[in-house]
Amino acid sequence: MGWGKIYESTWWGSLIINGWGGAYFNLSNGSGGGGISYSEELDFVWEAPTISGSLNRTVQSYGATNYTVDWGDGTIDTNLSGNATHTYTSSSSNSSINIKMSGDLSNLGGCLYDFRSQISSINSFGTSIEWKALEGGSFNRGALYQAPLITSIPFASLKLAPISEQTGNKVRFDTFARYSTGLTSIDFTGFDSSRVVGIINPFRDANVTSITFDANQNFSSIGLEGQGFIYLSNYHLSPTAQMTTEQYDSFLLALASTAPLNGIRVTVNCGSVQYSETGAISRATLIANNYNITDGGQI
Amino acid sequence: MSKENIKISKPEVKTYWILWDSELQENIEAQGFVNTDQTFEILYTDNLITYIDEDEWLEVLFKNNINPYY
Repeated sequence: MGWGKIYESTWWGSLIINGWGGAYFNLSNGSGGGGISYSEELDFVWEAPTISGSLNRTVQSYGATNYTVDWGDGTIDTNLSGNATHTYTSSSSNSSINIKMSGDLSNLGGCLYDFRSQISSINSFGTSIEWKALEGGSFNRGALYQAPLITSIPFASLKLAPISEQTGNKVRFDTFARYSTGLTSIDFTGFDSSRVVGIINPFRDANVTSITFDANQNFSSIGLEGQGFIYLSNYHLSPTAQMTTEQYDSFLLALASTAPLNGIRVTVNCGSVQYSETGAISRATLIANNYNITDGGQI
Repeated sequence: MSKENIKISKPEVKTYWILWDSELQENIEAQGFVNTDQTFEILYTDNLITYIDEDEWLEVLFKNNINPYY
């Protein structure tokens, strides 16, 4: 976990489902990740490559008319309108550049697209910005699609516009951080999920083994497709390691112990891993509560 | 008496499914597929449609603005 402290067997706090069998509650205050204060600006670190000559990077504004970009190399452009391109000059070595954006920005993907493959950390999504769309850039991929250097995502700092004001494909978490292979845990603590309209494969092909959410965040009720947040597959859990039966049994137990069992449809796909008699009761409990489960069946 | 769960276990061919929210088939509640080495299980429902033709399955999903391979 990036913040807060996890205590076992405590019934208040935030629910945690650990993909490898843990079932915990997070006692952080749930209002911003244990009291961490986030910048009002979109604030991230770009691992700039060695630049021979010059290198352009563009912010795709999606209609923003008054915004500011601190390009991190001493240049700050203000009152920007439309797309903004900055030219980074030659450098003899890689460097970490802290980039900040603020103003009437609306499309997170458009802001990050040119940088995301080399973004090493998101410090804040900008608490003063209400994002109207997360997907942007070419192919309208998720905002952190294929951002392999990212290890965590500060969802507590992510603010979404009311659904009626959202644009394009609206605020969906589709492919949000797909192929972000450095990502191992997801923490939604403190994030207002009520304005999310759809979720498909947000962390597919990442290496997520742990998911945390607040007790009042019911992602499984979200989504035009009803696939919900807990759409797990081997790919979501780990693209390289198939769970063992023992791990899968523990996972089923953790899920049945902590996930919402309120009749809302939840899709779980765990590849071809098999469960044993140990996990059978948990699995049956989940199915009885409207989970549909795909796996390798019972051994 | 409640009906038994629907189970698709290790189908001979990859089997695709769509779960509608009702018999009216207005909203897709969930969708997926079952590989030949997999087992799919769900509470009994009259609203589950299965396909063995991927294109047919995709056509329905696309009509409902769902790209399962996103």
